Amino acid sequence: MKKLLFTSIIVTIALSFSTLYSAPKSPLLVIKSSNSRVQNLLKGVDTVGPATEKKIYGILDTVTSWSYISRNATRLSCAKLTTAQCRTFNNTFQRLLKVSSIKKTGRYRAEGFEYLGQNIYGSRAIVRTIAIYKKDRVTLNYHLNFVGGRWLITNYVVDDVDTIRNYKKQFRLMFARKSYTQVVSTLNKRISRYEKEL
Amino acid sequence: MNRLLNGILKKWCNISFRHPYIILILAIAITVPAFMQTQKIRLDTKLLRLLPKHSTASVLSNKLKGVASEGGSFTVLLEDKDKKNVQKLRKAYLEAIDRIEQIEGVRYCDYTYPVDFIKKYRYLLVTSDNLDIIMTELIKWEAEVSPFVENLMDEEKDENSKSKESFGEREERNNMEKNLIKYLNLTPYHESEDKTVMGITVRTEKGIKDFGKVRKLQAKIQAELDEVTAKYKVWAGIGGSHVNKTVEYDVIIGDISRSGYIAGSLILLILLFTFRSPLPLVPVLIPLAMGLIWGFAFVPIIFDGLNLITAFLALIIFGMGVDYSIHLVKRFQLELSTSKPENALIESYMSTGTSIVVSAFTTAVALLILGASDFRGFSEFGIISAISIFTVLSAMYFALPSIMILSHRFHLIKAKDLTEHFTILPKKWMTYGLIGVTGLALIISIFFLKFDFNLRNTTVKKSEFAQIREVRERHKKVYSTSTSPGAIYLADDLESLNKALDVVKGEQAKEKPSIIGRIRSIMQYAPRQEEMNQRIALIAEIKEQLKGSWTRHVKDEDRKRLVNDFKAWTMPKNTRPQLAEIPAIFKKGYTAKDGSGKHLLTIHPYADRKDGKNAMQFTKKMYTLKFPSGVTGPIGETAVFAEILWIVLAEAPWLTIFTFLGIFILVFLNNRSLRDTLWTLTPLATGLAISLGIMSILGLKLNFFNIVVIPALLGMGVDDGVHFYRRWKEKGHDTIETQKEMFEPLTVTTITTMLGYSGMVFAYHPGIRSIGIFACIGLLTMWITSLFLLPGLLQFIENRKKVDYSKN
Repeated sequence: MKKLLFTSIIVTIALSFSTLYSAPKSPLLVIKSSNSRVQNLLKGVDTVGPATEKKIYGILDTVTSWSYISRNATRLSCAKLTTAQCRTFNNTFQRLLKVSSIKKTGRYRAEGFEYLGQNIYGSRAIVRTIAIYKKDRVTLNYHLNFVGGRWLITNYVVDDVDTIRNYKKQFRLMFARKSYTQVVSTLNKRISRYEKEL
Repeated sequence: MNRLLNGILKKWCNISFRHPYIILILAIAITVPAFMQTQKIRLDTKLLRLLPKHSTASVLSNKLKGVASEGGSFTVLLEDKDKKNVQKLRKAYLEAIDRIEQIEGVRYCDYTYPVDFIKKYRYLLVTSDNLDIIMTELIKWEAEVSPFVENLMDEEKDENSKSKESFGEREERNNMEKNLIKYLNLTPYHESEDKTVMGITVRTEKGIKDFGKVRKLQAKIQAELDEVTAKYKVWAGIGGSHVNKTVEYDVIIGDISRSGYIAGSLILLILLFTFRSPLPLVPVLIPLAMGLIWGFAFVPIIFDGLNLITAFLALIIFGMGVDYSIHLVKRFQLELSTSKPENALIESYMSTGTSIVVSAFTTAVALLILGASDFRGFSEFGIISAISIFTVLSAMYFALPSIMILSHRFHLIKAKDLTEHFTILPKKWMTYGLIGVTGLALIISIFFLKFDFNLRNTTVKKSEFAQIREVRERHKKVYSTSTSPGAIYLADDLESLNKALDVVKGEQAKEKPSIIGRIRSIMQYAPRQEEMNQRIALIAEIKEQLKGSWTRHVKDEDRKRLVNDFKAWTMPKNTRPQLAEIPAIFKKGYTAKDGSGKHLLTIHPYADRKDGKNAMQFTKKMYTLKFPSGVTGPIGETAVFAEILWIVLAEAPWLTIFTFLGIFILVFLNNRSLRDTLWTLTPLATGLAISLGIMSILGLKLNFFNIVVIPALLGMGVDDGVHFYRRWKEKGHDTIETQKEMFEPLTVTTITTMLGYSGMVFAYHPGIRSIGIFACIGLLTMWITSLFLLPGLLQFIENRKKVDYSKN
């Protein structure tokens, strides 16, 4: 009897520990850990070179769902395109998002963050922060979705500038004035420019 | 026939020898009234003047005369140089207005803005396309402040991108921004943002049209301003469309005078050099002057006056016509060394006289063919030139014989032989070299010679003139500059206007981007409900866009002001201004100027309309629009420019071909031999090919001004070939002797003709300058081919014949 009880307790404790270690990180933790990893990388670095940019990208890539951002930003425009065109448009825009994230994160690095909390709505969450950048305090909210067993960033809202909403507006205006080929060409040119700089 | 003509000529020479004074008096008797007639010649520098009267642009412009434009206005600008005392400047301003309004010829002055109206309706007065631009800009600004968003719409910032913001997009945005910033800082008066410059638009009476009246009125305004500036120690300047037109006119007159002095002086120098004395210039120049006056006496009878292209014709014909008198006087001098004066006169006219007739006829006929063109720049150039050449030729036959006889009697002309002539004998390498150059030039010109469609390269840049530049710099501070519309329509009533708007907007929506840009009318200020709903929706969207805290990151002061103003502004309860409510200053721009109360609809192209290709595309689109009855148009400089290009591009190749054919036929009729004709025309064809090659290499382009030089060159360039070949035959195919005799006179005549055009090389007007440059290059190359290629080729034939003869 005693042996059975002892074994049960050991198993329960072991199960608890394994559950504890395999539980997904909370959205707030995801943001905190990725931000601190980026900040550690940038510590003591005056100018961000290609090697550092690559490492930053590596961190962002693990916590961001580029495909989700791209799909949402291009959804309205895709309604007027063929499937093949939509696919090309989406893939090209995704490439731009990735390349742009490398270039911009280096330039706009925050000196610190204040974490105001998180709100979870099922498989969606918002992490509220204040980014301190050159003595300016900027409201930076991360929108995350629970995808494939983990929380991934699916939108950034900086001082009420919703990334996906702004891209939607830009694409609406661009498609009103240009052809599909011209729009994709614009994206490709921007990608080429950034890739040359990397 | 030849014997009859020779008989008449001989008889006339006899009469001239016997009664020179009577003939001279007769010639003067014809010249005096002709001279009085030439005083009626007027110069019209408008581009419209170059179009045929039946062209669409001409017909519509005449129909809508006085409707779209009041004929012009002045803009007076005052500046406080110290930039300190706003009150002082304002006092000076109000006093200037008061004084100017008292001047006879001034209808009224525009100097206030309807501030209350603008403040009330503010962004409701901005058209939906401009509100769309504002929305676009805000989205871009939003993207710029976020570290996570790329501004994909600002392609100018993309260094590797070849495509940039189009001209139309840039113009629309600049125009919208300037207007918005101006209305943000609106004050009752027309003044700059920093209040150091104030402006007055002076509207003149309808009768103030011709330059004389405009200048007098400007002088009166200036006199009043001088008193004001002396009293208040401020700067004042006068600009506006009246001033721009007079400056442009003065530039052309200045160009004509300057060209005349330069060309005239140089021709006189050459004549002095060739005759080695000023005395023979009397018989050389007097019949030429007579012939020119007779020719130009026809201008006020046949045409309204001179246009931009024919303005310089007197100079050109002087340069061409002096050749005839040079040839005849030199031949007379030569014959005097072996014959008595009467026989010398007859011999000169029998030989050189015949060549001159042939060359005059070929030149005149070549130019007359231009008379068939619809483009009045060509047709009037051709007809006036042909008439003048005939009258100059007539003077050479009518007046010159007696003048030469009198000149000889008064020792103005003396006998002269060949030994004094300067010559260069052609070498074999010159001939081979020129053959090679001709081929190369032809290939280069086929691939590289271009037509310049840019109107800016063929019109005077008014900003180059200090007088206009000073005023313009201040004008920009007070008024937002915008280009005049590409097309203006007149609608009889509001219903027609609205239908016309629907037609144009419908066409605009068909293409992206459309060549149709801004569309404006009185409906901009009192739009239909549909447009007003669009504006209200866009304003709501903009306000929503501006709600975020991102706007605090906007650094530019003007942008900040616009953002804050837009945020703070609330829509009035009555969102739609009525027509009656619209202030006069806004109505005026879109109401017919003839007092009929009809409405104007203006359309701007969404592209640089100074580029001829855009002008043609835009005008074609305007001409194909199907408007309801009650709408007339379009008129505008763009349509005029487009029609000029259509005609020139369509006709120039055919005119060139027919001119060449005409010359060919005339030379053939004279020579009665195909081989002789081909030899005569060799320097012409090769010279033209080389000149086009040189133009291509130098990067010079053809345009609707200088393209008239091609048929003109064909007419002028044939002379040297005619003279040389004829003399070569007369000399028994002795090239060296022919070269010795003809080198100097042909060189002198080519130089004098070139000098006739050379004055135009110094013109401010780029179109006129291009005519001078092309003509000089063409005449130079034809001189080279006439005196180095043709003699070389003829020498080659001569040598072969000698070899054949010696073999036999």
